[in-house]
Amino acid sequence: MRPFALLLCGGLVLFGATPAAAAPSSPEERAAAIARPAVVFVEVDWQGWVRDPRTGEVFGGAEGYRTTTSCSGVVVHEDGRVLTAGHCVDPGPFGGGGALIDLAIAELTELGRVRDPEKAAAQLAEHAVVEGEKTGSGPLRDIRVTRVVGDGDSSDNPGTDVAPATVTELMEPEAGDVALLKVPRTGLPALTLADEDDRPAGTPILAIGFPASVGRATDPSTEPTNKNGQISARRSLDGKPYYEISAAASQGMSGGPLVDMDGRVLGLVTAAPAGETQSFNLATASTSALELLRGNGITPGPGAIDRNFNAGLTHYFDGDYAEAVEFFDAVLAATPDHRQAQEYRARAEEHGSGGPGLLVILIVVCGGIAVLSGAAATILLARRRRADRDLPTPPMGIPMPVTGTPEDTTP
Amino acid sequence: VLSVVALLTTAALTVVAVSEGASPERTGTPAAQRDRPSPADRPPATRAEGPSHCLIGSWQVTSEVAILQFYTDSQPQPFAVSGTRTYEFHPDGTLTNDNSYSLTATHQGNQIRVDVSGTRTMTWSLSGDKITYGALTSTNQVFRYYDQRGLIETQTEKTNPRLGEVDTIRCTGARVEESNAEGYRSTWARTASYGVYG
Repeated sequence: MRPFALLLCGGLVLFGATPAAAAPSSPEERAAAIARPAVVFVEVDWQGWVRDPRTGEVFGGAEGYRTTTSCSGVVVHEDGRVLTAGHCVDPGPFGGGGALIDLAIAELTELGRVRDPEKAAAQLAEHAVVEGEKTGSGPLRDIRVTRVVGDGDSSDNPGTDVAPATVTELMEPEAGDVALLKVPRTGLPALTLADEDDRPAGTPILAIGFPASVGRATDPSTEPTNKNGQISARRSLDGKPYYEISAAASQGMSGGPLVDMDGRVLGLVTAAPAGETQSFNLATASTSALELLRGNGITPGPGAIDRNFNAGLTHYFDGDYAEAVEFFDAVLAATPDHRQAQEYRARAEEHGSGGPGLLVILIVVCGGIAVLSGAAATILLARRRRADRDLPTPPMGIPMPVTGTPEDTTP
Repeated sequence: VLSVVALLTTAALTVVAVSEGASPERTGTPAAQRDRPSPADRPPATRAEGPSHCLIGSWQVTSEVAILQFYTDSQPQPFAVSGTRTYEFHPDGTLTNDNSYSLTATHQGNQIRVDVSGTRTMTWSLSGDKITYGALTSTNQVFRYYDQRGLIETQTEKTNPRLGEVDTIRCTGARVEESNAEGYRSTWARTASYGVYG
């Protein structure tokens, strides 16, 4: 009985550390659970005209060209600071200006004024100027940042929060490709940026974002996509650090975060090499983004809401469902539309958050064993003392050692 | 021994429970909806429309019938055109016209011919399908008139700030058709020497 009880108690302690019920099915699940609340959808409406200064010709007619580009982004401070790829909001030829030039090329092609569209695009990118309604002004740009909120089950709760955004700082596509946006929101879920750019090849990563092709192939959705992979190599471009990654990252995922298995941002998806069709993409390292944030006096990182959410996830994956619910409730009290907190709270409740936690059960079981074994030891000790009192008392009053039954001691 | 082990385990678990059992951090209250502005629609910007992108570029005349009054005492009549005529329409509203062609017809059984050569610069504007050649700003064009007698006259064109010629024009990208009420008809094909990208 004794060895069994010891094994029971020790076994409970051992198993208590790794409850199988809610442990993440993969490291990626945990990373995604941490990171996804902070991933946002970035759309930009562009309007502009394309002027060729060599001839003075202005393309775009009276209304100009209009197009909408889409990217991904990540919240890095709860007060509405969002990072995305620079080319997503850059009015130059590698950004929205390029999209407007493409429209000019399409119009000129219909007019028979383009021989080779690629060469034409290169010529205009080099020589043309993309402008607004006045000569020399930049193209018009309206940025919207959409977050996934609530469960979208009614018109009162559409499932998204769309905010206007302004560009606070921009590292041009050729010089880091990072943009810092500001949206008029507070209490947003935010992620931690890794203050390093030397993660080794082979480091598992997740690229998270909103691929445009999925949006075209399925019903409209604001559910981000996770693409897993590894860091393939560390690269640099004009002195800026980049990661080459194996995760698939198609158009629309630019600006989305590249996170490690702890949900920390290692970089932002930036570009696929021209003509590359395999899983081979680049991500600008998070140190470039940190440089930009610090230059604006911003210390990025998770806030109290994120810490509560992450603690809730830790409790959830550890099987401490009651604790998890407590933390998720705290998150929802501050941000009632936090979709992931809603989801994981519901899951924690399904696992039985109303009962005592596993740790409490262990304490009760082990405490019970301690009490029972203590009581048993006390009873045994009392019986022994009673038996000792019945023995003949030797000289000097020292009891004789018990070596057998009392009868055995009789000469 | 068992009770001691169980007691220690209980104590250890209690310490773990206490250390893990930190309460959630206090956070602010949710932002009111009015503090969450939505994107506002901006009135679209507009810009004065420039000249036709279709006409801008370089063109070569592929077929043409011109109406010309050869003798002062005869009626205007159609002439076939052969040779080279090119136009280059610029976005600043000017065009250049290089000519080296001949107009031929028959008058009272005799072949008559006009040889035209030279370069002209004009202004142009388009409104709907009407093109207006507003002014002939420079020219060195020469007309040489021939009939059965040979060269009968040579004329050098002069600039004309009030040219004011209006024709009907239809541009479909690679092709232009120009005509007027007097019977003039011309078809042009786009060339790559000006206004073409790539």
